Amino acid sequence: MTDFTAVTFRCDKKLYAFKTDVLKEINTKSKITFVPSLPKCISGVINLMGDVIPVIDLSVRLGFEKADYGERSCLLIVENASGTAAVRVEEVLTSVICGDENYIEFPEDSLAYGVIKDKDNSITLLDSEEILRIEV
Amino acid sequence: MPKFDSSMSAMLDVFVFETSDLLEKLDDRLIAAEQEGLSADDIGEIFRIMHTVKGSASMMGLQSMSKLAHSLEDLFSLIRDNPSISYDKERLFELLYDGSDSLKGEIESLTDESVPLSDFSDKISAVEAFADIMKGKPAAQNESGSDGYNANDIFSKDDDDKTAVFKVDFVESCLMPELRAMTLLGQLKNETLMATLPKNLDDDAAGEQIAAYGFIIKLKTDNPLATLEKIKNAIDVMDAQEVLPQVDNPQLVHSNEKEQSKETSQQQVKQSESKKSGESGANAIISVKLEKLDRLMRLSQEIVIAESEALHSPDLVPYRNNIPNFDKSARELKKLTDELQDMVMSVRMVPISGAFSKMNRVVRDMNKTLKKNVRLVFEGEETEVDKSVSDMLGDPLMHLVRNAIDHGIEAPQEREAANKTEPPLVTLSAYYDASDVIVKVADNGAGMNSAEILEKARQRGLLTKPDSEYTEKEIFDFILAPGFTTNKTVTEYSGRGVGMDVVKKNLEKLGGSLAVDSVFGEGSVFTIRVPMSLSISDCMGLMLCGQEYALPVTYLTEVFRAKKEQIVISPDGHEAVMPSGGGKLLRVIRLSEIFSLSGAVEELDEGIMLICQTAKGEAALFADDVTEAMQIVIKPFSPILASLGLKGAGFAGTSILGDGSIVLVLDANEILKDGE
Repeated sequence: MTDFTAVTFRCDKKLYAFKTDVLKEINTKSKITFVPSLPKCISGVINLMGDVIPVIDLSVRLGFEKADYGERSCLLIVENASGTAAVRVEEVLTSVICGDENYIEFPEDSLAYGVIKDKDNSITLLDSEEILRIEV
Repeated sequence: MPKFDSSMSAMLDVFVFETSDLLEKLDDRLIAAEQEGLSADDIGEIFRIMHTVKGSASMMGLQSMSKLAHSLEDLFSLIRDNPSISYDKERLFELLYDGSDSLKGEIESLTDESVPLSDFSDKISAVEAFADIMKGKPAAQNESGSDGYNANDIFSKDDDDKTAVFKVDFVESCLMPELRAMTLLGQLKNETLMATLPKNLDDDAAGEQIAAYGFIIKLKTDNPLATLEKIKNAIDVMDAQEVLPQVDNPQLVHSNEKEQSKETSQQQVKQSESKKSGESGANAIISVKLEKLDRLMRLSQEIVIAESEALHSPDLVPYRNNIPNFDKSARELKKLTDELQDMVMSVRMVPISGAFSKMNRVVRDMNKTLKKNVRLVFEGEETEVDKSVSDMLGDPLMHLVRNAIDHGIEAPQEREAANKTEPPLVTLSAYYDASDVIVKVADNGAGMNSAEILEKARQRGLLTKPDSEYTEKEIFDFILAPGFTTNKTVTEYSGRGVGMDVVKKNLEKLGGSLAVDSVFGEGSVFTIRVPMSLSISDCMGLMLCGQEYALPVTYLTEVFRAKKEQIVISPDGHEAVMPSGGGKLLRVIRLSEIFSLSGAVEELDEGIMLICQTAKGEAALFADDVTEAMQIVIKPFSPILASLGLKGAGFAGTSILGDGSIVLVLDANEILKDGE
């Protein structure tokens, strides 16, 4: 396996990561505009350089309660084949280089690719394609 | 399966754009030449256009298109080489128009995989047969004037052991092997190319030579086997092999030199030729993808927002009165960004003449079949409109022009009988009116008989009030009703009564309108009114549960705060309101209910009623309050948002306001459908 870099973040007290190649930028100050009649996991839309993109509440998307987004909360702008969306997380932490020695793939398809072991923590590497695919 | 070489898909847009452009030019040339006769200049230009189309179609792997263009090119090379050659002029133009239409049709359906590639062999043989008649002899081609060569010719004394020579054979069905050869060289650019045979791939004979003797490449490579593999995998390559040097040829150097000098002189001629053709088409214009312009426009809007954020930053407040240099720079920046925005907006504007001149062809074709000899006149064709508006106008204009010639202009005998001496004219004119563009299609034909139309309308049960109360304008508006026609016979072009209502609907979708006026015996005028730029729409801002939304005014007929006595509630809870004019009750649709929002104004007499009229009927949308009229750019939803069913929920799109905030734009059509 070739090494890759992942950005880690916290959401609802748990640790997750995205591969860096799908991350366009990290945004802290965008104002979220509410949009009626959208699924619960979408908090609204933001203006990203003139594009209107949805904001996905990661905590709700993963099936947990709505997280308490405080001062340190960020929007990760994720861009992949299905489009661009902002993923709201509690706090962005750091980046880790993943290779054979610290990364294990999940045996089956799911919302996540696998698990990264970083010191004592185990970090779930999320499949951005799946996270952005939202059923109505 | 894609219709063209998958390796060329990146070129598709450019190919479609350039080729359509060339065929458009060809049509213009043809129409002019048909009236004034073919000049040497026309012949050269038509030849060049066909040559280019042939080449690029072949490059895309579109063999049938390329062959058709090739046959027409051949035809014109005959005329070019012998201007006094005799031929049936009418038939020639027929072949050319037919060919140009076939090529255009093919390009239009190129990206649609459900439409198979056309086979033009009938048309090609028709063109070839015509060429044979011109030549005055049955087909006897294949003047093999090209020089033969052998792979051995390419070796020279100073070849070292890294030099390798390959002989490449292309598949026979490959129409222009010299283009494939060029592509192949492009793929080998990592190796040092030393020489090829034939030497000059631009040469006219190169294709034939390659087909006959193969394509010989000499290059320096560290790994001849890998290079060979690469060559074998290239497009349309049937076989390739490495050629090893045989006995030295003492004459080689000498003959090489001779050819070299011949070739340089040839190249010089070519260069000066291409320079000349470049000059004739020289206008400093480049074509840019609309997407890029849209992006540019958005970026310039963002710059303005970012600028105002920076210049009015709260951090500056303490220094506000003591920063003259900052203020000066800020003013300069403001001036520049304003100019940038104006410039970007103007880039999208194109003269309407592009849409107009397409009508030349329509008129020409109809004159051929209907023998009405109509002249098309343009006025104000330099009027500039947004590119998208110009594109959208194509269909309505074509309908109206056809209509004018078919229904409006009388047959020559009738004109004579009516003592009309002036030539039959259809006039297209354009001018600005506020932020709209007015386009008129006028004819000096028979005009419309309002009594006859009224009678027709009665038969169809369209009348809703006594005859005497109808104004001229109202009567003429009947012809815009679905299925309405006054023509007694159905012709190739019109008369089925479909069309006018479609034209009207399509224009209304763009926020435009269509009006009719006519004087019986003197002619009719159809007036199109469209916004100069489609991207800007007039909307009404409204408040709902503390958030602002926008409602396009297209469907909005009335806005008012209902009084208690105007509100009627049925025993089972259906709410209705009587508009200020009275006479009818309209159902009330609470927007907060449609969007499942809480915290909206409850009492119907405390909020605002917005009466909307759509194809689905009429209803009152109930909102908390209205804010102000706004002119906004409505953006469709991004892919992810679009997949979430927002359209069905009653939203048309989003818009970004001057301060960077987002408003959602409502879709009255969808909401009225939902509320049923």
